[in-house]
Formats: sequence, C-alpha cells, structure tokens
Amino acid sequence: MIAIIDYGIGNVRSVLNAFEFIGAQAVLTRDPSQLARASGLVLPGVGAFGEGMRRLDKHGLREPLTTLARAGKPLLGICLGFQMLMRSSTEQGQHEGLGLLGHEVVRLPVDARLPHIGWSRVQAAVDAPTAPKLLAGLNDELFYFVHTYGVVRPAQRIVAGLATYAGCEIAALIESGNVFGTQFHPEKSGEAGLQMLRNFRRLCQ
Amino acid sequence: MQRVLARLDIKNGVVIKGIHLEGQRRIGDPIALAQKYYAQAVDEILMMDSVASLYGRSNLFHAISEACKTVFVPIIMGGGIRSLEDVEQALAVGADKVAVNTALVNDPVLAEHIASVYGSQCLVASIEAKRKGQGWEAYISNGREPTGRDVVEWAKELEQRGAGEILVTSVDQEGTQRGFDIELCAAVEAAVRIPVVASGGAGKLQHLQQLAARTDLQGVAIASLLHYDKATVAELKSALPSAFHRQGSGQ
Repeated sequence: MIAIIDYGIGNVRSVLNAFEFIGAQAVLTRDPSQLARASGLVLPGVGAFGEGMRRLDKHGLREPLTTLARAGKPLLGICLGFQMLMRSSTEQGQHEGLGLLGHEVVRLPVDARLPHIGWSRVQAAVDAPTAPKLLAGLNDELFYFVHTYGVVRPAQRIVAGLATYAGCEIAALIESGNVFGTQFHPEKSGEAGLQMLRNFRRLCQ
Repeated sequence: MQRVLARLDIKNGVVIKGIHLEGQRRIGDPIALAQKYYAQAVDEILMMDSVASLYGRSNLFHAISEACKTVFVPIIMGGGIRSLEDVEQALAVGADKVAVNTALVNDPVLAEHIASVYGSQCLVASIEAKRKGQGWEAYISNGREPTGRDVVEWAKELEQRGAGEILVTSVDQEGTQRGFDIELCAAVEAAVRIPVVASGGAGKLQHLQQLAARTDLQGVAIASLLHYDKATVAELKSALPSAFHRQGSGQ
C-alpha cells in the first residue's frame, strides 16, 4: 500500500487517481502509524515552500517522514514535495526543508516568463552513477512542469534526470537511495507520467 | 513554447458553444470530451462553468472529480470561484488551477490570498476583453457586464497581485471563428512577464499561425475547432511553431 501524504495543500486527489488508475493500492493519509505501515510514501504538493513546511509541522509529519525515509522506506516527493526534501529554499525568505537531500531551492535564474509552465524533456544525467530507476522504459519523454523555484545547475552526482528551461539546467529528477523526487508532475504528464508511477510502485514492492 | 488547451464551456452539465460567450449550442458530455482530447495529447483542459456567475455557484465539482479519474493532464476549473474555500474545494476534487474573473474584479486582494496559500501557479487570472476606443475594457459575467477597467492595466495589476498566468478571452471574437484579436494578445503579452494564454476566435489552423507569427504566447485555448471536429490536437500543434509534440494515449 502506498501512502500519499495529505497535509492540506494542493491537489492530492490527482496523485491518488493516478495510482488507482495504474492498479496500485493507495490511500490519502496524514496518520503516522499508517505511514509506517505503507510500502512507500508519496509527498505531493503545490504552492509556497514556507506554507508547505508549516503544514507538515502543523500535522506533526516532519519527524515521522524523515525517520521513515532514513530507515529506507521508498519516498517520492513531487513538485513542492520534491523541493521540501531539500536542505533549504529561498522562496519568500529563507526556509529550512526536510534535509533528506542537500540542495538549495532557488528562484530559476532565467530571462524568461515565470512560472515555468509546460512540458519539458527529461534526460538521464550523463554522469549519474546508475541508470535512473524511475526513467525505466522512458527515453527523452516530455513531462509537465509548473514552478518558479527549483534546484538549478545541480551537481549531477545524485541528480538522475535533467530538464532545461530558457537555457537553465534544472534538476528534474533526483534519486538518492530510497529517496526520489520529481520537480515535474508525473500525475499530470499523461502516459509517460503514469509509467513513471508504475516504476515507483515496483520499487515499493 | 506553446501549450494547447481544450476549452470546455459547461452549462448545467453539458458542454456548450456560443458566440461572444452567449448562446447555447450543445456539444456533448464534459467528461467524454475531456477524455477524447486527453487521448489526443492535449496539454491542458479548461473547464468553465458558463452560468456560475449568474447563480454564484459552480456546478463543475462533479464533472472535474470524474474527469480527473482518467485524464492525467492539468485541469483548470473556472466559473464561480469566489473564495479560498472554493479554491480548496476545486483542488480537492482534482483541479490543478482555478481561473477567476468576477471575484477578482470584485475583490482584487483575493488574488494575493490565493497566491499566498496555494501558490501563484494555481491562479489563472481570466480576463474577458471587449474593444473600446483604442484599447479594451474588461468584462465579467461572460462578457455581459463592463467593469470600467482597462484590460492592459488590469493584467498588470493581476500579475502584481500574484496571478500565475493570464487567460485573455476576446469577447468580440469568441465563437465567431474569425481569428484571434491579435492586437489584444500582443498588448497583454507586452504588459506582463507571466505566461499568457489566448482564447477566442480560432476557426481554422491559419488563425493559430497568424497569432504565432505576431506574438510569442505560452498557450492557446481552443473550443470550436475541436468541438466541431475541424482539427485534432495534433493538427493544432502542427500549426504552432513550438508546440509540445507528445504521443496521446488514443493514437
């Protein structure tokens, strides 16, 4: 069973729908004991970083999430959920993240319209140590992005997939052991996104 | 890069198509149409409740909730969004963004509240524009009520208050299939630094080419061409110089 963390922000229903569509057993929950029983965790989210962290704290989820992730349970962060896995963000001030990944989230340094809304090709980072697990069966597919902040010009050591917006290289997909994150929305990326969720589900079994 | 949005104007549970945002031609079931355009690899789906501002309440929650079970591209819900609670409910049933017009005209600060709680990316500021003199005036209630606001100034204010994108609908061109109001699109594009989506007037592929030749908008919202089976999503994308060419599930 995959637990989709429902902490009162953003469109969690779509993530549940996508997992149900691919035949996965999934629930929306914020109950730490249910998170502990799940075979995998998904941290979705849209909106502002500070507000997201406040809501995680309000529901007492910061400690259970980091503990379970450090104990090896597969965790997938999506969009804001991806960003909250990081050390910090500069969105509307300086905010501390969950710190499961060491990057900083910054405003995309581009001379182009923001938010970056639309489809971008995600390519496996050339010097990633292993082939990205979530990209299995997916070559150079387009995924749906909507964001103003992100992890940019990342060190590729733990970055699994890269996208480019207005000439700026963005961490699109990070895989670090059991911790996964996508800046894009797999649940809104058509067939390619559904395939990625199937890949994550397989990793949870 | 340009997104192609399928625009579904919905009245009492049925997709309709009018002229100048008025009128009643029945097109079909919103869920079936959303699925059809999704299978053709449309980039987003815009569902607008065309009578919500008359009755003050959207009837779209059920349609969105059902469509989201099988349609995995972003869905924008418009019409009748009045408050943060309405946004919450829209997102809860599966919408990704809300398109708001009337409520922002009545209370522009609502834009700041939506952006601060749900993020700018959630808020599509919808502007219904009618030509007036040398410029355009913003309207509400499906192009029925003038607001006295200049469209270009209003677009700037909406950006400054936190809107994530602007959906600009030409009431003059809407449903006529005579082409976009390209000057309007260019004026809004020049006024803001957030993405702009154009709506209203596309009746043939050439109209998309003409728009793309004179502007660099981030999206076009298409109704008649799709609803009357005059073009597939792939054909619409082929008319745009930098569309997102993706494989649909039904092709």
